[in-house]
Amino acid sequence: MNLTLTPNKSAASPDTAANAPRRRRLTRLPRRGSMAVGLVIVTVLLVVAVGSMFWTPYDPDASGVGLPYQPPSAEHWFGTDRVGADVFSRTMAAAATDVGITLAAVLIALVVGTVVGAVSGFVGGAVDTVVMRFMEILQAFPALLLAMLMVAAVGPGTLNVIVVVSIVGIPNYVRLVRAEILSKKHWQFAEAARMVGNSRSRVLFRHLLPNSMTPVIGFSSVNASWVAVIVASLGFIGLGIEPGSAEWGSMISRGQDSILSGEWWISTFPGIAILVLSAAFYLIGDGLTESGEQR
Amino acid sequence: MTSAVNTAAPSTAVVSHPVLNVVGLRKQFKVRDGGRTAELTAVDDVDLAIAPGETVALVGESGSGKSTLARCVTRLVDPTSGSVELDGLSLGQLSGRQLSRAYRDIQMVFQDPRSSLNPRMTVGAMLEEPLRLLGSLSAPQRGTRVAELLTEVGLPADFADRRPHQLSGGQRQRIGIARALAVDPKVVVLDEPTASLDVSVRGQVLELLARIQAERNVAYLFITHDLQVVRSIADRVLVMYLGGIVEEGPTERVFSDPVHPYTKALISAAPVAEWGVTTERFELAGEIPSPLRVPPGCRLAGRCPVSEPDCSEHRPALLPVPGSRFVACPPEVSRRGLLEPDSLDHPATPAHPRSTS
Amino acid sequence: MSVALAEGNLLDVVDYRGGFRGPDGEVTEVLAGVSFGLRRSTLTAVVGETGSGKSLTALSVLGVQPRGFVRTGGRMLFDGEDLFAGGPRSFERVRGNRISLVFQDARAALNPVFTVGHQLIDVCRAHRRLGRKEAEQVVLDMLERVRIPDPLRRMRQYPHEFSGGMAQRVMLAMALVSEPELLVLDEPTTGLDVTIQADIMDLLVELISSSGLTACLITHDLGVVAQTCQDVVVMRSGTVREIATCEELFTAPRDEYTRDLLAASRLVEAR
Repeated sequence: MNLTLTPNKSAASPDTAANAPRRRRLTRLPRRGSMAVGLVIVTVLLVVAVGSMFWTPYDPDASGVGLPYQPPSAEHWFGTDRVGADVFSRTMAAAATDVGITLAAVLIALVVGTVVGAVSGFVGGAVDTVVMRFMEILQAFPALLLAMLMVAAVGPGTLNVIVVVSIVGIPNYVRLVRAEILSKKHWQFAEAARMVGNSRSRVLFRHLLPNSMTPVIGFSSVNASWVAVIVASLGFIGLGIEPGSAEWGSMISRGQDSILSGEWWISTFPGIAILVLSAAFYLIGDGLTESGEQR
Repeated sequence: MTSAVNTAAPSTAVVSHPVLNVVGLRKQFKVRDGGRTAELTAVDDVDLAIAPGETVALVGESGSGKSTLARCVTRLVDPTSGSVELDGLSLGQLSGRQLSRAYRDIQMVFQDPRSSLNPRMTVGAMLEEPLRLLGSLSAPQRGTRVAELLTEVGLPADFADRRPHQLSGGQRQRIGIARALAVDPKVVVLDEPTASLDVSVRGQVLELLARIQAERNVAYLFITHDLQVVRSIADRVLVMYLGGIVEEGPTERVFSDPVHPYTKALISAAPVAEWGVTTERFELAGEIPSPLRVPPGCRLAGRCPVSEPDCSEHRPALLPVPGSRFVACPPEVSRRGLLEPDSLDHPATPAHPRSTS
Repeated sequence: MSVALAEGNLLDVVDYRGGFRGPDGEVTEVLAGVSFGLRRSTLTAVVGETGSGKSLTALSVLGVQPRGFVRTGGRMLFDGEDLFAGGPRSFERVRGNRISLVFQDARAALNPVFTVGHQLIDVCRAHRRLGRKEAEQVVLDMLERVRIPDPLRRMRQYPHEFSGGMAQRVMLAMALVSEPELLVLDEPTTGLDVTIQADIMDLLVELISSSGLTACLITHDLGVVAQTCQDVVVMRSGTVREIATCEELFTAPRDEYTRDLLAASRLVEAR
């Protein structure tokens, strides 16, 4: 019998029916709730992102759809910018860019990092040493600095940004998956799988890996929350995708001079969008990690 | 007298046509010991032979290397040296795919039925896997076979749809046994199969294993620390201590008249569930040393109450004693346990001068 | 099964009931009226298999219960005083002072970042008003009593430097240093090798008989019971099946389950 040894306060008085479950519900609900909120936000942003490809109130890339520097109004919900483009339409269109790049980068990092980490942990020896040293070098730089250096080297462009941001994320997955595999490598079901005729690679990919993915999935969502910020940061400093295209970071950058002169809406709305996206991913990741630990 | 007899493989002298024959098996690991890399010898020059349909128990405490030996025999771990022959086929040289094929004839049952079953697979999928990967049955035939296997280990056929977390410990271990039997192997290595089970379940699992053996003539290599289990199921027993075999022989004889001091200590320490049966403890000094510090002479030197100065210099070979038994302790030393207590106080007096020629 | 409350028992567990609350708020009963007593200066075994409720019951004596456990009734009379009636404080008053516990996994129960000596001296001083020097001496004597070789050097070592058997001796020393009246041993030798187990049990019996302690051994191993205990309580699925002296239990078991358990422990030939 596995006993968690907590001196039980209620040991002395038989617990009256309602107390315990209510206390438990109070601590559990917010987690579930926040995860649900995160999921709803990400879903909404995804719908907006996809929808923006088919319809926006105004052409997001067209200037002069209204007068320059108009504050938010019924006509232009988020106002207009310096060249008279509709900020709401641009923010919508930018959702496609930012959410798309974030998801693609996370997916690449997840797949590559998982495979590399799994093989490294399973094979061990020199392969593992080389892989882990390389990951340490990558992780020695602050994530944003590394991303900036690499984008500066390979040049801007959507694909480049995706690849660079995913490379920045890979070491985290490698470490996480490697640790999981190492802890389970000598689990008896892995040995049992080998004994019933599975090849070593089948043992790894069919038996060990599926049993190691729970924390990885949770982490990927946390990862997405800072990838979104890095993507926007690259856009902000002008190292991101092609200049001029709708992207939250570059929108903030273009509007920053106007904040002091009172035209706050140009930067604020894309800023809020980044914050909301990042927070939503974080909430999901937090919830997933939590429920993974409970099992 | 030492070097000449060293080469004799005791087991092979007893078993004429072994289905499993292990000769000179050794496994060393490289480990970090205080910042330095050291060689740890987990299994040291072990010989072992099992006849078809025989049950051989390998008994030892933690640190004896018995589990490593089990994994070397099935090549889940590659031995450093020595050979493992399964029905005439040497396992040592086999590539990955050839080894998979050899697993048709040798299977393993694991200690912890909780961690030896993949939590994401159904019982049916787990039992079908060996049939699909190692056997030659069609898909419908495999389904029938899975049902037969479940019946054979005493579980209803609809258990095929269950997952490990829906099973009790005993049921899990039955699945582990069914999985090992799926391809009708000639040898099954059982690594502490009853260690994590309740006593009542332990009895049922042992009965099941005995029944299966009677029906299929499968040979068991039974790794355990549980002397009750050894006594009830094994034909022969090998006692392992710090990587080496110290005593070998037919179970009943070893239990009723242990010769090696370690065997004596082990058997006399095992509690018996009977009133008034108090065995005189044969006590060893201290605790088992780290496998990194195996004494150079006799492995038990330093703990043994009957040892002589010579014991810590020369490692005694596993030598035959009457009754198809082998003991790694010179008779003039092991017999000293039977002498008058006061004579033990003068170990330096060479009562039996030993010839070293 | 009812047990007469014998006068002079150190501890009486009377009709102790409880269970775990499921997500629906319903309590699934796992202890269905457990009653037994511990005679003074006696080693009593509480024997049972997985799910018998033996650990749950015995640990309740210290007010230690797993999360989610709800007591639904019963009394726990320690030296005549109902511990449940007195609120959590009555447990705090006796726990570690008059009642000590030895865990199954000693190395996990010791704090890895402090030396063994440090932890022992802390426990000693928490329960007995002693100066540092005096406490050190008491601990040193206690380590000698539990036969740890070279105790002065061992006191300066950390738990990870101890083998399982040695760590269990440290736990024993820790439990005894506060001079308790009742010692609860939760599977103290499970997971240890038989030779080590025999050493520890020999030591335990000697300590208990020499100091007049009352002890309660929670175990699944009838072999250990036969060799060491005076009284036996057999539990199954949250109920007491048989209470007997050790001799009665092994020579003339009354309950059918006890007989099955005995047969299974002795393992009549499976071949």
